[in-house]
Amino acid sequence: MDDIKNKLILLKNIKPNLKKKTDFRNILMKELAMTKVNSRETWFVFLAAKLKPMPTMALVLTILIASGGVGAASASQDAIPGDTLYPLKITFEKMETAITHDETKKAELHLKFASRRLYETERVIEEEIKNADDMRIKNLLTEYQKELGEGARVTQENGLKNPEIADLLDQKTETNKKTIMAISKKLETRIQKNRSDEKLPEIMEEAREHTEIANDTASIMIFANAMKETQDKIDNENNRKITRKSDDKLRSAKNKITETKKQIERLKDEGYETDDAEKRLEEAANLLKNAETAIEKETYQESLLQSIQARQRAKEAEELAKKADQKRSGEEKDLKKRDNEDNNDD
Amino acid sequence: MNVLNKVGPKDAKSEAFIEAYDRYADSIYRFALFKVNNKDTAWDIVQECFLKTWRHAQEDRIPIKNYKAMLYAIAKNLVIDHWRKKDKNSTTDLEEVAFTLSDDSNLFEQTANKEEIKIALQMLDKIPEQQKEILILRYVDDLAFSEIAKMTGKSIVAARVETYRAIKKLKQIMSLKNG
Repeated sequence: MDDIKNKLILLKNIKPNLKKKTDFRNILMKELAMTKVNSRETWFVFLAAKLKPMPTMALVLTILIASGGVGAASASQDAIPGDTLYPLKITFEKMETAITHDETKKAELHLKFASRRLYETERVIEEEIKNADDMRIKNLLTEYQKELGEGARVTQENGLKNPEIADLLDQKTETNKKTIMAISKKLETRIQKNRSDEKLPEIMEEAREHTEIANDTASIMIFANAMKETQDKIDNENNRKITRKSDDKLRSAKNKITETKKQIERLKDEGYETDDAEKRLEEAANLLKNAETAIEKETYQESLLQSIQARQRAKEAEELAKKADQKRSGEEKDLKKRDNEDNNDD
Repeated sequence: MNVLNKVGPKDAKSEAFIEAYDRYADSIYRFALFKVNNKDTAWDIVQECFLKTWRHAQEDRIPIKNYKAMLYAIAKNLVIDHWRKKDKNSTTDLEEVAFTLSDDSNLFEQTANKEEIKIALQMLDKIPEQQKEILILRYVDDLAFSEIAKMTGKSIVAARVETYRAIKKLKQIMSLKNG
């Protein structure tokens, strides 16, 4: 009998993972320390009722809410599309947004998630072992633009009341522009290795354009807030901010114009119709001149607006140039087809 | 970050609850594990069990006097919920279950214990579920017969008798095995 009991007692050695136990204890401690239990209880009950068929997800979400929703350790944080926990990660994000009512925090969340989508895009492109397909990359970039759009919308609606939202949008979009550039380079390598569709760079360009537009929104808000605070007199700090933004936008417009000019010249050399594109680019160049003049006169707001418009015109010129390029590609395809048919006849 | 230093229980209720966690988390885990045969599900049940218990502690005006009983009761219901959705006949994955050992033991002990635990689990699998539950509650989780009786819905006498029968059955199984 003792032998059996001893064997059974050995089963006491079966214990949960110590780290999981400690982590959960920390979560419980935070929950205990929370003062606003009632509102959390509502969400606890709401979630438990809604998600009963999926105990694991309900539990993880409940823990997330109970722990304050931010900074809770979660195995899904590092997941990327294709991972089992990725849908859970997205669900967490949606819940976080749903329960956040403060506009600044809401904008912060959207922008955080937008950055995450870009980071995931970079990882998906890098992890060739996982056989990343183009659809996943396209979806991520679409989601990125959605989150960014929401962040920008909240900023537009609330940027004048809460200046920090505009600053946040500005910072995030500046970072995102750099990330997009890095991703574009990796994508080029991927395309060279025939692992991706050549159309992906277009989608990247779309994401870049949206980022630029969101950054424009932030810049305008920053300016508006600076002017509002100090009427016509601008203090040193705001002056630095405004000067920097004006310079950034001017530089951005210049780069776009240069880029588009090269594209148009290439097409022109090949004998394609580029009049419309050239006209639009000329408008862009004129607006850029106005922006430079405005900076010299220290009318920075004027400079900012002119730079933004200059870049937008350059973008339109680029679109028109693309149409000519597509026409050229179409003609080349037809030519090839005809050549093949002729060869077959022979 | 050590949360325990920054955020500590501020009242008796919270202290009692955390104490219950420290004392019973392992037992509730084992209880769930032997029922559901899956480590992750068992841990999910533990977490949900404690969160629900805390909710009760918050809602009820009368303080909880017996956390142990409440935890086991809630855990039992969670296991029942789980089985309603799953195939009851899925077998125990012994490798899955047996390898989670205490972090305090040394490697030699761990390896030796692992085999013994495997044998114990194999034995338990051969007896009826009710008897298995009682043996675990009694010898692994050190519950008193009065507590076992409440949990299983039996009288104290019936709980004792069932325990005796379960041990006898195991003895028979062992003698058959040893030839």
